[in-house]
Amino acid sequence: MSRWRSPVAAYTALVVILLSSWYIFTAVGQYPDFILPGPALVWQRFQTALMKGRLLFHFLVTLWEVAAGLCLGTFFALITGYLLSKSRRLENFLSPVLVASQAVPIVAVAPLLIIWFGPGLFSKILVCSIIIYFPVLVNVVAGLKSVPTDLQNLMTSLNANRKQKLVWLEIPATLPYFFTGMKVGATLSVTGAVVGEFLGADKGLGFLINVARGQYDTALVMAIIIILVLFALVLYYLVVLIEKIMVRWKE
Amino acid sequence: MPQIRVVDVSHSFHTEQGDFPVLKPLDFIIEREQFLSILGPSGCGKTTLLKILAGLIQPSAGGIQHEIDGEAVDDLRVGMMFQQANLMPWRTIVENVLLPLQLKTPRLHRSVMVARAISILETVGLCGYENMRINEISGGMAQRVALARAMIHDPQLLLLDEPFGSLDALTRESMGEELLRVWQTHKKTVVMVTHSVSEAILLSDRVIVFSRRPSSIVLDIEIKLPRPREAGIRYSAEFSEYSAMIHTSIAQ
Ligand SMILES: Nc1ncnc2c1ncn2[C@@H]1O[C@H](COP(=O)(O)OP(=O)(O)O)[C@@H](O)[C@H]1O
Ligand SMILES: [Mg+2]
Repeated sequence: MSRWRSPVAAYTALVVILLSSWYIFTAVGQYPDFILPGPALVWQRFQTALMKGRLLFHFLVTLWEVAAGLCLGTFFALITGYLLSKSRRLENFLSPVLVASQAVPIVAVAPLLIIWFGPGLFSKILVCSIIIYFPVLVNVVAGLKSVPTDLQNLMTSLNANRKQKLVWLEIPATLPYFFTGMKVGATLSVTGAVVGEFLGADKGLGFLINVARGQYDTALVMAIIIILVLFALVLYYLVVLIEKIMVRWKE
Repeated sequence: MPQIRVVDVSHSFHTEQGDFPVLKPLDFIIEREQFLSILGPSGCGKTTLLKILAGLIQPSAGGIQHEIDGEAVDDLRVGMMFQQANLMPWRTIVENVLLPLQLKTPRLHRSVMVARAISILETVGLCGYENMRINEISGGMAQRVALARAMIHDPQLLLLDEPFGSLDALTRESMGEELLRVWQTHKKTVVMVTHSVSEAILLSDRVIVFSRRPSSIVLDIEIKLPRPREAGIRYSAEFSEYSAMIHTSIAQ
């Protein structure tokens, strides 16, 4: 059946199947709303939360945390990645430290960050940036190391200075690797923000889930989960889109 | 045009297993506009010598002196070509060719760079291909692009490291003839490493043969075939004599 080949059609079908089985399941089972609300109720709850509640505000808070966290984490990952790839000694020294730091689950560190930096936005931004930091760093170092030696020799034989090598050789050669790291990190960072908000916050989607859960407002919890999934998807495809524009030569 | 003196250059690499001598002291002069070919077994240090000439490696002892019209200069404009075309896949053909201009004369207007790149692409027979991507072209075309890039900034010294080594035999022969044609119109001092004796004789004014590592020169001859040369000269008697001489020296 050739029409299934189109991904848009396939995804639409998947969503329709999921929604209708959800609907049938709740219609047949007649579960209480605080255990499993049906899609219609969740949609309704979403609308009232958006119009009468402060859903949009909480979403914008989380969006801001993720965006700022991504920028901060990426910025430091790029700088340390460049330095690590330039100095073998620094790399040998720091690699085990970085790997060890990665072995500590961020969920365990997040409470500490909240104790140290307070329940405000900054501690969530930090959680997000720590999450994005490692995948971007690892990929940027791998990218910088993949630059062919002969191209480096060519640049040196043309007396290229450090900045010229960076702009004309190292950045373009590393971009595909960078985007690989961004794709991994971007979706994880949404999780990071929500985990941070769970642990201590007075705004954001994670905070709102906590409140709704306390009030047995399961419909709102599910609405927010769907929003988070869509948010992560949009973020992922945004990275893919930017990659498509900037790394056109890879095809 | 420069004259290059290789003054008592020797080189060892320092490895974990200790010193690794590659080049025994070398002492020779490369005349201006000379086309010099270097032959020798794999691993004897040909690439190392080219890197020393390009200033990429500091030799363990001795040094390179450049002279232009009798005056010593520190730096030469160098063009390099490697066994692999070594192009940047994120650039189009014309953008690859104009890279040396971007680095050497960044203030030149972009349209001037493009025009120069296109005109040099014409001389290597790539007219009309300028906007193609690197992954769309064949190995032979990629080497032509690499040659155009090595020539665009009008280098005073052209260093070619087995430039056609990765090509099939037929493409390789035609590329050799192409290089001969280009060199005869834009004379430059050239040092070329090659494994092909006939390519070396066809193109060169002079051929140097290295021994096994640690290397020294086992043969240094001038190729006195008349210029301009054509591919047909391969079938002449003198050509076979040179060929026999070089082959014997390599076999030693
Ligand atoms: N950076 C390096 N460190 C240690 N040994 C090297 C290095 N570069 C080359 N060599 C060794 O030096 C020898 C000569 O290398 P090279 O100049 O590349 O030979 P070729 O004549 O094949 O071009 C080889 O045995 C090679 O293994
Ligand atoms: Mg070599």
